[in-house]
Amino acid sequence: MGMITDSSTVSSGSAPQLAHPPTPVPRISDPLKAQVESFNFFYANGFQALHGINMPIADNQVTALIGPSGCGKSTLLRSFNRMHDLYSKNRYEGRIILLPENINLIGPELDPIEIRMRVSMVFQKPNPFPKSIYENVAFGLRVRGETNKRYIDERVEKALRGAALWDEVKDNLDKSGFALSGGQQQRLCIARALATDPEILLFDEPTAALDPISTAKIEDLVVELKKTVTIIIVTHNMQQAARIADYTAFMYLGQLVEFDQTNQIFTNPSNPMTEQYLTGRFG
Amino acid sequence: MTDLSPASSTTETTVGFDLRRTGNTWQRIKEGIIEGILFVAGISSVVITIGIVVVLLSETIPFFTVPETKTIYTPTVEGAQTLTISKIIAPVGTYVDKGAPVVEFSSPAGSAVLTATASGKILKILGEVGTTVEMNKHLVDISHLVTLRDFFVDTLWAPVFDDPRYGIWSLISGTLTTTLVALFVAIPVGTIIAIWLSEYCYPNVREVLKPSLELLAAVPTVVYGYFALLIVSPVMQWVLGMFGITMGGFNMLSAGLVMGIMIIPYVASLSEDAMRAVPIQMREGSYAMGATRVQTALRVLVPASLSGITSAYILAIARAVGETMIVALAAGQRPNFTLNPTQEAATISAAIVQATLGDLPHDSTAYRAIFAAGLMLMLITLFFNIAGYLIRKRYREAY
Repeated sequence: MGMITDSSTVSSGSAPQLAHPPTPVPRISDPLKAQVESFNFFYANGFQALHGINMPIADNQVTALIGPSGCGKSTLLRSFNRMHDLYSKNRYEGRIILLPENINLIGPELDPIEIRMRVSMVFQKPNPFPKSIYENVAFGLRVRGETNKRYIDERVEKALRGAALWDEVKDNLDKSGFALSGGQQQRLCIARALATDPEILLFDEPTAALDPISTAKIEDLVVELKKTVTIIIVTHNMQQAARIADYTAFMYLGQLVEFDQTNQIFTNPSNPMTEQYLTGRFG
Repeated sequence: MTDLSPASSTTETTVGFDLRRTGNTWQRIKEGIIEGILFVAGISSVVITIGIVVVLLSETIPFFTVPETKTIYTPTVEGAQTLTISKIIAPVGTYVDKGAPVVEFSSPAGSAVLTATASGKILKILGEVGTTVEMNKHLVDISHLVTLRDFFVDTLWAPVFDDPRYGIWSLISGTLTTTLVALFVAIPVGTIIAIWLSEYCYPNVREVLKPSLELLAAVPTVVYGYFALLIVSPVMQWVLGMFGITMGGFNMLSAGLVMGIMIIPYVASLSEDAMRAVPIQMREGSYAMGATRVQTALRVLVPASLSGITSAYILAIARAVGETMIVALAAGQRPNFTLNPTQEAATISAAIVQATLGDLPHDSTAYRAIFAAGLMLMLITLFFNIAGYLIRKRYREAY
């Protein structure tokens, strides 16, 4: 995994001033799943939350987005499945290319529902639907019009196994999703996201509401899942990023300050701000 | 040397503390006053409910336990001037069933029998064998007690007739029919409005639409009643006429339709509140799975807010069951044991209004019948409330 620095990728525009200018994004040699290019994001009130983001997303790897609250990491994550389209007058600029087809995820000609079928998401707070465990997992298939009972059965079991939940719930598939513990609910949400065979799985601080044991289970799961799916995870927990991520992006004030392999960022960050954040001097 | 025995200890160990003992005196008085007001407000609803039940029961129990005297008149025989009592079949003091023969008459034009118009004990007979009586005159008194059977099995409500009848079913059928018609209008329309308001409508449009919708509930029901009678009823007559169905000017259909319009805001507004109260992450979770707006609304938000939506439906049902003015004006006030909405009929509340408009003596059985009917109305509402409570308990979601 050699690094080739691409100095032309950072565009500042009207970006707020950082104490240290962003470090150029290294070009990675891993095969890519997606590529963020000159990406800006504006909320409905005109606030620009993201400034000229350039970032590669490696295929079948875990990419962590870290940074202090309000740095735009969740905003960036939620752009991958077009969640911002739910609220009118939000505006994207630039491109997020999905490979290998080379399509622009945020292109207005693309139906966000199509995107969400390929890019699934797990939220900060477990959000099972008011349905049985089985129906929670089958939801994505059902909204796609799938009615073949045997096929759905198969996919539900596969997804629950993939989320390391099958053994705990296989005898209670008809029970409400709310009957599970917080950690189990979060794994149920992961199973729900897996059931439709997404290409990218987005995690928005998936362990923020969980106890340490449940957190460890989710972390193990994320590492296991990257064999089959590309993962992007937002986390406030830097140790978590260090434990599970292959690549880490440090963001601040809506800009990508530094992007690199995780061990590089944590052991030898090239931007002084990254080091200050990692050592707890701000954020 | 320090004495360690607890008896002489001067410091008291307080475990926990009483919240009412905190703050200064003035603050404590203020808190006390507020607490008192809260308590009175809370307890008043309970006291009022109990009071209503006590009043209803205090008249309903005598309705079933205090006998009333019924007079029976001599029969008429065509061609005869007078009748002569030929035989007394049921003497004073005996019990007779309804329809049982009591006195037999003979006359030059033929014989006749006086039968009991109600079951009960014969109190007196104004005559004996051989007495000549005029036709259609007061002859026999029977002490009649209204039984639960009279109340629940009979299908005619006519408490002020000479032969009073207390069949509550003819009123319940009217109440249920008008309520069902109203719900057929209000539940689909109200729920669709709620889904549209909460998921499709622009927020600033909703700010205007929702209060205007709620105004529908503020229209006086007497206005709705005349609207039903003078506008909806002729229109429905015309519409049904095209299908070859004739319908009178008074009918449960128009009353029910207008009642449905009246309760739309209850369904729509409360359901919309419940749907908007669903946490944003559940809504986003559904969209993130690739669901459309319709799928999100129907498969996630409606199930998630089902307990609130059920409450809205129950309130709407209670409102429809108890509605008086619309049905009294537009459905006609003739008790009618039918579930056919094109018929005229009286509801429980309309019958109560109708009875109280006349001058019923306070100690009469007919007067007490009003309270028995009122108690039934309350029981029906209670039934729906309990059903709603059970449904809410079953579907309550802890997000």
